[in-house]
Amino acid sequence: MKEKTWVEDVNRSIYDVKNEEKDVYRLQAGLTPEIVAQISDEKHDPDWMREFRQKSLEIYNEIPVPDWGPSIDGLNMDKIATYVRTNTNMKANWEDVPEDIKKTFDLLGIPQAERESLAGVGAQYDSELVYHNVKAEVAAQGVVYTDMESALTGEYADMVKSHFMKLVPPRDHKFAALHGAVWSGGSFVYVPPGVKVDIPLQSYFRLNAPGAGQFEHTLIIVDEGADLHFIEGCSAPKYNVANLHAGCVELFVGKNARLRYSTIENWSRNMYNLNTKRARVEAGGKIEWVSGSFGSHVSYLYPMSVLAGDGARAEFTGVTFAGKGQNLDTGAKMVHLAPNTSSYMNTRSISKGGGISTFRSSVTVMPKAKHSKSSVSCQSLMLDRISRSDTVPAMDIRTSDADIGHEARIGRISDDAVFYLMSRGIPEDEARALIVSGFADNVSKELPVEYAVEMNNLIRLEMKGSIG
Amino acid sequence: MEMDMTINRLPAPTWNWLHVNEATVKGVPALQAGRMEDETPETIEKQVISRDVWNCDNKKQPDAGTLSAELLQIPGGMGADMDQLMAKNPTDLHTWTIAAGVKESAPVRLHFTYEPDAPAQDLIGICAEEDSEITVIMDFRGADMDSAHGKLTDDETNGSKPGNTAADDRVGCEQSEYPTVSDSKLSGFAAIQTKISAKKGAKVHLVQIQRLPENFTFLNDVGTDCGEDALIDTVQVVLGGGDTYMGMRTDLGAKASSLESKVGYLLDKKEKLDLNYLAYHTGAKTTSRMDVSGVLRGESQKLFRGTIDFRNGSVGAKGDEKEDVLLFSDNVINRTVPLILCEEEDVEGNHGATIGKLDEALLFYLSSRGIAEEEIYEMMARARIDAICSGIVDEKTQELVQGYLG
Amino acid sequence: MSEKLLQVKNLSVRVEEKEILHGIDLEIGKGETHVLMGPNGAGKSTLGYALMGNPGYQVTEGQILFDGNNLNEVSVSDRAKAGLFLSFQNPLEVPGITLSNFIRSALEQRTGERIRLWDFRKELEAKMEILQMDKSYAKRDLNVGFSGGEKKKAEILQLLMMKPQLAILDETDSGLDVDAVRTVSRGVEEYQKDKDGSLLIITHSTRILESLHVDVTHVLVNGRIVAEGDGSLVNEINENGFERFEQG
Repeated sequence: MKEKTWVEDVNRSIYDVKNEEKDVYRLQAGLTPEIVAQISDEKHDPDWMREFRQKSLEIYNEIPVPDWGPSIDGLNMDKIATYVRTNTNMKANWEDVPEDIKKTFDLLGIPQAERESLAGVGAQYDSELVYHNVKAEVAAQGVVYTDMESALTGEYADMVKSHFMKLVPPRDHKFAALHGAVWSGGSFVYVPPGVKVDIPLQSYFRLNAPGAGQFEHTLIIVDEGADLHFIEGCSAPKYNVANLHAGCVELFVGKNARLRYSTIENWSRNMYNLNTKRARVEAGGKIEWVSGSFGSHVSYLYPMSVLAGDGARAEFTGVTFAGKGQNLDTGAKMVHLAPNTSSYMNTRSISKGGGISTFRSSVTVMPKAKHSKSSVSCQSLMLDRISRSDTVPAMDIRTSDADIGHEARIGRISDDAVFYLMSRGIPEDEARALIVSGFADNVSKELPVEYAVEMNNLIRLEMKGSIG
Repeated sequence: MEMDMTINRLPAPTWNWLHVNEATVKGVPALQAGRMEDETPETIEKQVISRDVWNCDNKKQPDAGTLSAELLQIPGGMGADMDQLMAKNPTDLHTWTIAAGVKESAPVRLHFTYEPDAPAQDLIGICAEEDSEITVIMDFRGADMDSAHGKLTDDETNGSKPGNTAADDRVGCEQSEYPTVSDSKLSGFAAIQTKISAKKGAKVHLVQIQRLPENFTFLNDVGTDCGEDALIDTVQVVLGGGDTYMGMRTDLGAKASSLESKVGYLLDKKEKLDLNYLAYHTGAKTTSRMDVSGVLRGESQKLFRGTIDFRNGSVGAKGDEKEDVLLFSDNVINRTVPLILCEEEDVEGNHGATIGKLDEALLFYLSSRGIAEEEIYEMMARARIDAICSGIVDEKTQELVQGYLG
Repeated sequence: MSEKLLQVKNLSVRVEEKEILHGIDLEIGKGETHVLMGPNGAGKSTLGYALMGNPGYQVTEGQILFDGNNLNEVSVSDRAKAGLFLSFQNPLEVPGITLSNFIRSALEQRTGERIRLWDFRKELEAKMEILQMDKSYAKRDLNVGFSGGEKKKAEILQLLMMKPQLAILDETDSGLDVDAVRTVSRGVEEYQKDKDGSLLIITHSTRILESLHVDVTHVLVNGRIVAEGDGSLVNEINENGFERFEQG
């Protein structure tokens, strides 16, 4: 128990530590073929990637912005610097990471976490990874965990090329195209057949530069019969200018393999979080998404699971907490392509202080997906009457041999429950915080204990001063 | 003269690739007033308000304070294009008004008979004054349908009539992707809009039974305004048709007003059903219930959009949506978009959907009593409609439905 | 012609990947009452389901002969038409179909003839009286909102109306209070005398048997019939339980 206390001390101010921008290389803001070519130069892209970026930029210019979600009018691409890096190379040794960056990650608890409970860690600061390390015994199992840039030219170059943006093609939507053009950083993970990684790998993304974008690419391939838990954390200090996060996560889950992908996202309230996550699951495989969305100004986030093989399964467990000034549009998409597939969605959303949370989902069952099952359960909690909570699910079922269930519920904290806790001597604000934490326990139950504690702390922070 | 319409818009749009955000009806022909016969109890006042009065060319709105103004300002579920369609074609507004305090148990019966070569539209108003109660039963049928469906004897063994004659020899219809565009070459076209005003404490029961041939495009729009403690109760049964679009919007603006809406459908062959149901809660302690249940067979398609919208002020409101769909064929498409929108704290909203084939354990249980599988499917399909219709007090209507089901 | 109504020969049954019954032999003659006893999980209900032809229960070996005909490939509804009836342990709820309409449809399906409503109603009400069921149940949706006891009575009501040659009662007495068991037993007696019907009573207790004459008792343990005897075996089990059969 004792050694876990580092997370219990989490305080909002930690996330808001800003480092002065010094010794940094920052590309001119905006988006032109020249800027994209400069990124290619900077990153020594192979030829196919140079072309890929330019092609993506063309697509980006063709596709309109989404007309169905929260407004992103406050985001002006001409003012977003797509590439910022400190003048430091990636380190494999924590001591070598520059002092101010190290301090940031220290405050966030990353090195301790690595020592205590992780198999490997990657830390990205603005556009580039500053630190990457994987435990020797995990590497010895043949597990590859590296930054995307090294992967692009290293031993696994062909594997990267054949998977990169194949699941999320640039044409998918405007910000996928943007990502294709300016992506930088992120992680590549390969778990060989049959290898079970017992403790999680983690990547932490920190966006320090004001007015910048972060476009990391995460590519994970879990081969046949293998097993992995990957944790992603993100945060940024608060600035008055808009920041943009348009990352892309592509997960390939092989036959009978299992991948759990956990995220606690706590971007600052000036962030436009337009992230795309997608998994393709082969026969007998399973993807498990665990997702906590707490930060950002605007979020569009709907991890999609493509159940491509017989008996593939997907689970999505999520919580979204929208506070003042936040418009968080989150959910999941399930696509059943093969027989005997199953999907399960269990989400909670909380709205408070004028925040808007929208649960958006889709379940698509194609004609070949005979004997498939899907179950969706979404619950929303309204903490006051100035907030907003919408539920926008859709189902498209094209075979009769399917078993589809959906339930949605919206409501408030029961006065009886608050009264009950208060009658046991718990103050009202604490009682409410406890009830909200309990409401979100679908996610906290699924997280490693350190993260569950951090999440409950975030909820308590959000709930503070909520009485009145 | 043909026009394209965009109707049944989802109030909060979602991903465009799902093609559920709205429905487009192309090539809507010019329409004439439909053939309607009515049976009206003496207690209820019937009026015909000519188009020149409710829709004069020189006035955008009918005179304020008039019945037509009051009814026509109530928005329907299909949206502005439907209102424009009504205004564009020469149609009188037919209204039925029940005076304050009068509770009439005998229903107003409206029989609409549609001919394939006479595209028709009707505009209906129902006004229930304070503490009154009225039942309106509408029967939509094709002119060439076997009249035996309409008139059932008091045969104790009802349900024993031989099968339906209209459902066979279907006209082939080529569709493009549903439901964004409906390019059906269906020959028949009919549209109806019903506006309902239920004043304080009033009860309005609306029953609609649709038995149209498969070559019809049918637009059926309802708009209701529900006063304090008033109840709007609707039962709509879709038994036959081609492309059917239905919209219903209920404004629950006054305290403790409530909506009970039931829809049942049996779709087969290439029938399509596109629904947009909206319950706007703005008043305190308002309640809404939507219960949509049906069976898809053949290559039929259904899209249900159901929205419960809790606006500011709807303190203590409750909204419930329930959907139950049985899929009997692998070539059907079933789509469901059940929205709950909320900007009020003290509300309760629920939605539940069950979609799929017949439960295997249930199938086994019923088979073990010697009932063949096909018969079980028939029974379960009927059971859906029976359950929806169980709320209809009117015996004649019950018989009408039973007779159609055969 | 065999006097044997049901002959089960070396029957093995698998559910999903697991074999539950291993080579069961069982014969039931016309008009006989047999009891199948055994501890929980022995496979008693599996045998009932397999006899009725539940598609989830796969016959991997052996034969089920009914009136001399092999039932192995016969559909569930055709088995019912042949005269087999299974009273379910947990009868399913069927919204939208009333108990009365359901029984009438099932009877009409079996005979292929329409049944006069008047005659049907009269008989139904008579049988409901035997079972002390309120008449209002006839108009209620089948099993929907019925209590456990009412569901069991509704099963016996179907038995009495359908008059099968062989009735398999799967734990019909479980979860019932003393009075309800007595009522259900009365219904079963009625079936016996009305039709000279055969019975296979699956139970892990003996309460339902108190007022019935038992011809043969079979004891099923771990998917095998380990003992057979006459009605006195019931009493022995009643006193000593299954321990003696479970050893070895």
